[in-house]
Amino acid sequence: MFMSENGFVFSPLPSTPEPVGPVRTTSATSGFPSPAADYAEDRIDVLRELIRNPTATFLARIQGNSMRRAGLRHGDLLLVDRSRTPAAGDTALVWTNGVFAAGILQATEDGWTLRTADAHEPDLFLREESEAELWGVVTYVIHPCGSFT
Amino acid sequence: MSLRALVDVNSFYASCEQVFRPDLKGKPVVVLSNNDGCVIAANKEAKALGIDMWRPTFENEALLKKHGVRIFSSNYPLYGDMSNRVMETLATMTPALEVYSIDEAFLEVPETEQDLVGYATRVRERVARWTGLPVGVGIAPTKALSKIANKRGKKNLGEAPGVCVIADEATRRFCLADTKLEDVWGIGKRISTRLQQRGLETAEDFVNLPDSWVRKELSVVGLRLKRELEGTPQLELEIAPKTKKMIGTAKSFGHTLSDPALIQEALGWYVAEVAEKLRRQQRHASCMSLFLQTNPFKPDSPQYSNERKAFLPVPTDDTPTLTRKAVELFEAIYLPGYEYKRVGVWLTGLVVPTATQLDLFEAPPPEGHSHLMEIMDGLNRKYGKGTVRTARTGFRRNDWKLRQERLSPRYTTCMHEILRIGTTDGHR
Repeated sequence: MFMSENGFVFSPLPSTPEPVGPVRTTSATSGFPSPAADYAEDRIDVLRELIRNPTATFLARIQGNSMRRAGLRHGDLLLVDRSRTPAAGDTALVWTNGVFAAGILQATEDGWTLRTADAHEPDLFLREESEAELWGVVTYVIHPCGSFT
Repeated sequence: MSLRALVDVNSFYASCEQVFRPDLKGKPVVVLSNNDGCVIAANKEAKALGIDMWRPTFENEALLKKHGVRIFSSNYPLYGDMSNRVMETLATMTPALEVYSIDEAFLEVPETEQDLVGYATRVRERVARWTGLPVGVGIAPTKALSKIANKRGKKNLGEAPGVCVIADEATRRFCLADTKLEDVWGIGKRISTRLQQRGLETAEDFVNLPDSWVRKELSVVGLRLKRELEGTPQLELEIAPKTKKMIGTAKSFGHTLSDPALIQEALGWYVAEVAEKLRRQQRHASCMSLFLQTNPFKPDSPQYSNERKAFLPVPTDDTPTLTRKAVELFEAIYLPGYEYKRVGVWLTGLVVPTATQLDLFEAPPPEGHSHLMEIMDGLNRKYGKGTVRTARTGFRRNDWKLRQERLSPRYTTCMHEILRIGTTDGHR
């Protein structure tokens, strides 16, 4: 930490430089007008693509490798959208036996079965009366690569 | 007829904790005040055990322990975000929404809605699904009646679980007769005692009073309440947020402090917090009050408390300027030899910045400070409170900071504290 002349203390910040937003241009250019100006479109907003309903979306992080079977690895970031209606084949976040776990939903006659991602655990039946609770549908899994892990 | 719905979250703070801890479903949960000093929220399971709200924690301790009540320190970042999520969800179901408090909102029921019980039930289901929080819904032609409907819904006296609709005359009459005076919104303890002395017991008795009497004894406010209970709206939805008249904070230290330098550090921290709030509301303050207090719960140790107020010659939102003023006030009332427990700082006389007049004798804050404040607020929002701060706040926070021993993770506002999946402890 260091202190500036006017009495402000700075705490260390992350070393990665902040990304810079789009360069702002004025409508009047000094040289030739841009031929692209009439065709301007907004840059893709990744967050908006990934998070359709921010109000109902929560983040979770995978710990350990017991859920590899569902394609979930240690350190993966889950986007969990509670407003999505679950469908067979969806990855879901469930609460069971005192822990959160993720797995793949399969439809049965009387409710859902969760193919638990944990290779050592049997499949799980999600019914009204059972202790297990379907917490939300996992919409995306973000897997950090290389040095970003 | 246009109708209003009052939606509120059941035991909001405790319910927020339970969303991320499904193991606590149906179990008693309480939340403690800022300094873990007393119970400020309890869910219905905890209330059923006879836990007293607002009593010091240690007086409830035996009871809490005996029943294995799950205790949490207050996690305001979590509650604030969950509150926003509830309000955003409600906004998808109404043309007009008035956020009334952290866990309550008035909604305008869509004109086209035919099935009111069905609408209320859909509101409950959507909030429960999107946020995990349980809400109650009361629908009526006026705000005061929707409050009564909401309470009835909560007691499951309505048409569906957590839902009550007062839309016709017969139901209104019946509900007023079934509501005690002290349970009516806006009738405080003092007024209800006065009315009870005249033999009144229920909301119906109140409505049956002659207008002239109500006006004379309870002023136009009382009369307006009477109209509301009669089903004629007097209070419109307030959709634009009200700007605050004052901004302040009063906090207890983790343990008592006598070292003035340490108290000043804490003070610097609180001033920064209050100043940031001020800037968020785009206001400048023209007056500051400060108070200092020993621990009133320890009557054996010497007691002292004092308060001092000062005008700021130039209204400002500048943290260093406000901090300097706070230190001046502190030095004026601080007496050595006491163990201090609480300090509070309030800003009043809030004005819109453009109306600010320069004072002849006071130097305005140096140019560039407001830009500096903007950058500071931005960094603090992004990297966490207190990342950038004035030197006054120092580095000894652990010596005075709030006791929050049972704090849950900030699941939704801090990247390092999000839900963890696949660990046996589930959380940390």
